[in-house]
Amino acid sequence: MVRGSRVFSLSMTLVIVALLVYLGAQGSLGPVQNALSVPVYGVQSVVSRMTRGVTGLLDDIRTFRRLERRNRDLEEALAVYQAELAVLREKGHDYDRLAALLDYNRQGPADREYVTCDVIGRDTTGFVNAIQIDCGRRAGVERMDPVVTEYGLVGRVTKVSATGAEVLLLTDPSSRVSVRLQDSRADGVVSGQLTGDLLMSFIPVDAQVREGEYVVTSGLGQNFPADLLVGQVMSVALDQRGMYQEARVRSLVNFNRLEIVQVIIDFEPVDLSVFGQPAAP
Amino acid sequence: MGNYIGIPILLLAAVIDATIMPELRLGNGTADLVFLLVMSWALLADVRDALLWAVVGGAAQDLLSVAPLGTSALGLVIVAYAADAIFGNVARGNLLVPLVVVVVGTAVYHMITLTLLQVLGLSAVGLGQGLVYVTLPATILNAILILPVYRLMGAVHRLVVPHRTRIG
Repeated sequence: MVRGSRVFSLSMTLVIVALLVYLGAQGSLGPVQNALSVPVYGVQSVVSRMTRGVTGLLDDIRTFRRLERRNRDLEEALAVYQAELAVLREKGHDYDRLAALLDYNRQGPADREYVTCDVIGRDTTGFVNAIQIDCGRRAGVERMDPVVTEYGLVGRVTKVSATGAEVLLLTDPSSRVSVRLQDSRADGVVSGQLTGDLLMSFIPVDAQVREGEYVVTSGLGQNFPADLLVGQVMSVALDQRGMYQEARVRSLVNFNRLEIVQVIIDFEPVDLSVFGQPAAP
Repeated sequence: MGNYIGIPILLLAAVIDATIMPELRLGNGTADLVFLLVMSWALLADVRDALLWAVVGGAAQDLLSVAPLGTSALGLVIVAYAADAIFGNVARGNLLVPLVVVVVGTAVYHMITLTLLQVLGLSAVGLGQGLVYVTLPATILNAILILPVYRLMGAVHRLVVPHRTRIG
């Protein structure tokens, strides 16, 4: 092929691709993407189910002895937590009675509306920690809906089509969640790390943070509902400038083995724009 | 025919990249089947065919990603064109050139994609961190897979591209 013709082909292709990127970033290609993604998500669901069957079997074979030990450890932990649960249930009853007396209406986990979805794939760029789920607008899922499992917060819906959605995981470096330490009640922000860890920043220096303390969403900024479990503190230290404390947080969610998640579909962020602040993103 | 057969192959490869490849990860990196297919076709076929495969493959990947349509295609187009411009058409039995293209091409492709994601505000990953945690392991996995993929695409190329035979 003549050199000029090759350069022309490249130039035309680059123009088309740049136009695609521009229109895609503006959101103008939404209907096209929605239409194309329906059959693709369908195929992805089938392949994902087949893959999970095979990997599940291989995992079982590889980890049999470790699972036996882990089972023993979990049974011991369960006994301890059952005792704690009994105490907490009693406190929960007291709270409900007092809240009723004060006519205080706050939505708790049992009051929320959930949609259960299968995880059918992971983001292909490699630089973004995100998953695809097989629930979309038809199931009531909307953009910015929080996503959880029984072990805690997983992330937030960033892209949604008729039959599927993309969820940005908590471990993605661009993910930010306003949180609170459960015991010391200190506020901070949890962000993801490429290594899969979570880092809680902007903890006041005078806060008494202890290892093992639970971290929950604070509800500040109305990005997420309050009181969703985020993880446990592993270690704490001063940040580089010494103005705040930073804590390494371990989520109880295994982000590499997500199979089923729940989307909270009735969370409505409060509109703060009337106070001169931008509405929650 | 060579172009049309690429559409279902690349769509299936994008689905495999999103479902099966994450199970075979090394660190934060996974092999990129769409990238391997596009690079193979760039070394086997005409440059226009390779560019078309790059656009279709990139778009298929972006459908299953947070990135806007065209993000992956940009990197694939540039690397595919460069591979074709430097090496031209390579024999189906050649093992070294595909390996070199994939090792260098993975780094270039990742840097282009990461830069675009940062410009679009979709990634907060630093360049150095991305190289260490994502690109390096992905390069190793791509280098392992390119040889069988290139052989397979060589067979596909032989089937779909007509050959001229001399009479007399």
